[in-house]
Amino acid sequence: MNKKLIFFLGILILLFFFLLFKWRENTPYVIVKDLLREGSLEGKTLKFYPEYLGIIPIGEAILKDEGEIVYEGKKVYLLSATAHTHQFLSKLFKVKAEVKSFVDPFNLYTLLFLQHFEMSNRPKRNKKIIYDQENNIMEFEGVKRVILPHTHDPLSAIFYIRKQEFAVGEVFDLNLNTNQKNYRLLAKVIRKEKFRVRDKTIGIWVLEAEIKRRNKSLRHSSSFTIWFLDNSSKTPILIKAMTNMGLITSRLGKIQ
Amino acid sequence: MRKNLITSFFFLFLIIVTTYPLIFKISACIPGFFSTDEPFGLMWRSWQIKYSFKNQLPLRNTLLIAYPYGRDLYASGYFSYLGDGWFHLLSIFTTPIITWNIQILLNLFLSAFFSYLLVFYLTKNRLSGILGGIIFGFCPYQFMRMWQHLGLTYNEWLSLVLLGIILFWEKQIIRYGIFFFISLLFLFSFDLSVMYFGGVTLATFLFYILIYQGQLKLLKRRDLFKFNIKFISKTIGIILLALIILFPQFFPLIKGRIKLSHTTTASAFNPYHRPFDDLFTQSARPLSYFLPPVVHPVFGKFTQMFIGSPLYGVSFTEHTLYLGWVPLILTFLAFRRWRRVKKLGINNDNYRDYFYIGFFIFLAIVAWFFSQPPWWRIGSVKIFMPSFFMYRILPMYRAYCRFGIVVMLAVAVLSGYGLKFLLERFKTQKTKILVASFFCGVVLFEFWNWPPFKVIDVSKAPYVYYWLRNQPQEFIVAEYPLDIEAPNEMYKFYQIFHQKPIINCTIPGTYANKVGKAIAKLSNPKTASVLKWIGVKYVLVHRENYLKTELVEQVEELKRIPHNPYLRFIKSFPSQDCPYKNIMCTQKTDSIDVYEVIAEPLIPMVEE
Repeated sequence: MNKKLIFFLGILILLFFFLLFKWRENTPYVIVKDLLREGSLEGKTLKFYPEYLGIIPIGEAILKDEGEIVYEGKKVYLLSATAHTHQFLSKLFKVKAEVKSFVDPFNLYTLLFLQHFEMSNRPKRNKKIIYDQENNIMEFEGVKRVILPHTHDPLSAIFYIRKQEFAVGEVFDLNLNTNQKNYRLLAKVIRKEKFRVRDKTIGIWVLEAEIKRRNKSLRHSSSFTIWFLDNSSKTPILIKAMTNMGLITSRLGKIQ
Repeated sequence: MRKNLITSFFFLFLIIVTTYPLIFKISACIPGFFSTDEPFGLMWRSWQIKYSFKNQLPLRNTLLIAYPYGRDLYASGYFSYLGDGWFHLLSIFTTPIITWNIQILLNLFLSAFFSYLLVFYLTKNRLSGILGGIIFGFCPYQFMRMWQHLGLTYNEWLSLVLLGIILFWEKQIIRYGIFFFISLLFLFSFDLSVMYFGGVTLATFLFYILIYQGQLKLLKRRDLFKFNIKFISKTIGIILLALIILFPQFFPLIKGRIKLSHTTTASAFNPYHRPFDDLFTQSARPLSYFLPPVVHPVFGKFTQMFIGSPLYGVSFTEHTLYLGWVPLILTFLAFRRWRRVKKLGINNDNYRDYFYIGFFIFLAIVAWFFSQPPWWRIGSVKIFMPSFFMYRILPMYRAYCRFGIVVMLAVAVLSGYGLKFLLERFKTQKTKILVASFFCGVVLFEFWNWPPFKVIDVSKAPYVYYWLRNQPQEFIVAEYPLDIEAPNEMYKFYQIFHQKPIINCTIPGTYANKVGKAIAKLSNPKTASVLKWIGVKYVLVHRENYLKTELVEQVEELKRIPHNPYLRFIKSFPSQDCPYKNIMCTQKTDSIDVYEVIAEPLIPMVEE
């Protein structure tokens, strides 16, 4: 009985230290400290490490600001993101996704959204969604749907927010379109944090957001919190998203 | 007897509180929540029975919907003497609202009371029985079903039939044999799903006896072996007798299963062949049993975030299988005692508890496996579950997550045992009552579902339907957008108020539905002509139903409707809200436009 108890307590203590380590790893202070050790806090390519419940590593996600390009004779701003499960998890359950958002360079609304998705035991899926922002229409596989004025996709929405001036209490009310459905993204800057790392004062903006269906359906809703650096590009360093799979925490690991 | 009566009153009191304010608005409201329109279809059915009876219209092939082709309301051929008879009697002698509420409240009461009797009989502890009654009778599954599927609230027969077989197992006397036989008649008469659950539960009991016998090496003891074989034979005999008596009601189903299950296309509307893929969406997920219901006033929001995930499932109703953490802890206590007895050895004192705890653990495991999807896929390995094999035998059944109620019943009994063992540690009756009350209170909190109130005021309809009723002469009504993908239960329900035949509510695949598809576009002048041929005088256009699809085609169609030269705009009824802020209602509507058909009649050219 005593041996069992000691073993059980040992496991509990190990678990406690593991959770403590994980919790510390996902704090803005430690993230910034690690990033500074690697180099600069500015960059166009951001590499995130998503973890399920902030504990179990899932894989990698890369956000890229590809800058202005010419697409079909028109100047657009290109944003891209790739994500995949890591090697070990892929043996059980493989997920690979790639999205590209072609954004109007002046008002930052989506013009075209491309998505490639691969998942174990499911056929690969490619999506091409065209947004006609003038007529408030989106088109996917020949089916046209109504969108709301100034609609964003998830990638361009974050990019749009990063381009705005922040102040505590500032609210961003955006129209979002994802999975061919219209949502409302309501984000609020809730506080500004400051701390010193390597003799530098670092400012962090904390933004909380909620995504809900415009038709008030309770079925599809989620919320997330993002910690942005107070720099010119408002680099997101930590994202905690409450999805229908549970809490996903994504920590910025590398900036290039 | 007196104590049982007091317990009954206690359950009645709990029903009044947990369904509040239903009992005070029993002739105007029904229990319900935001996610479904299914009760309205059945309330319409109740009205249709009475209306047809009064006006000498056919009960089976009605022309009140899908006009002029009508619909066979017993397309599967299944008519249960007891179940449908009871529903018809209530419909004829009361109102649709009362018909609905009587069944719901009675089922809720009997579920709690019969499971109380079962747990009390097994544990010989009244307090355990009350807790068992609360857990099974007031669990979130029961409430979710109460708000959506009337048939699936007939869970009381599961407790009753278990009590019946257990009594008969303990004493094979005629009285108990008759009791078991009657409980079987009830089980087989009200809902086919509940009958299926009961069938699996009984089979598990008989199988358990054989396992238990093997475990105790009773094969060496010929007397016990003979006793068990005799019991199993008698039980099977009683089950067969019940099935023979009820055979005429099952015959059309059996015939349909043999003829149509493999020759027809699987669909949600085919009573003999449901789509195999539905077994995946309608099966239990790991968190379905452990997360509180979405309607819980405190924890519901947390669960809401998991709706649609592979961890919880897609449905508000189907995936609410919450067992409760307190019942699970008490179940664990019962399990621990069972393991200790197994280790220390079985004797005359603990034999009975050991046997039944073992059975309910086994039943929970079997039912849990039944509630799983057809297979689990781990990497490239597929592990097949019972639903995969059962689909070969019963392709008409798809919602295996509903086996969660059998898991709940097992957990309710095991919790009763858990509480009994816990109460053994206390000496005075007062302390025992206090501890039991604490557990009952916590369980009720875990299963709580309001605010907001889960009732719908169904006594009124939007004004447009009263206006329709007051229009002179007999005519037909068409409601747009047409419900050609699946019958719109609200269109049916509103017929209770206007009482005119409607062209809506056709079943996909039928000729009426094909005609419906041909006249789906109201802006088309030909549609108006076909409507005239059908006899439609007024067309109701639900503007918001067009807009909420977000499809450009539908939005454009809405804009074009007023330009159809063969439709005359009569008036627009403004949107309406509910009279009470915290009670949902059927009166609430967005604006509805009314048009009169002024075209020349045209026969629809649709191939059969």
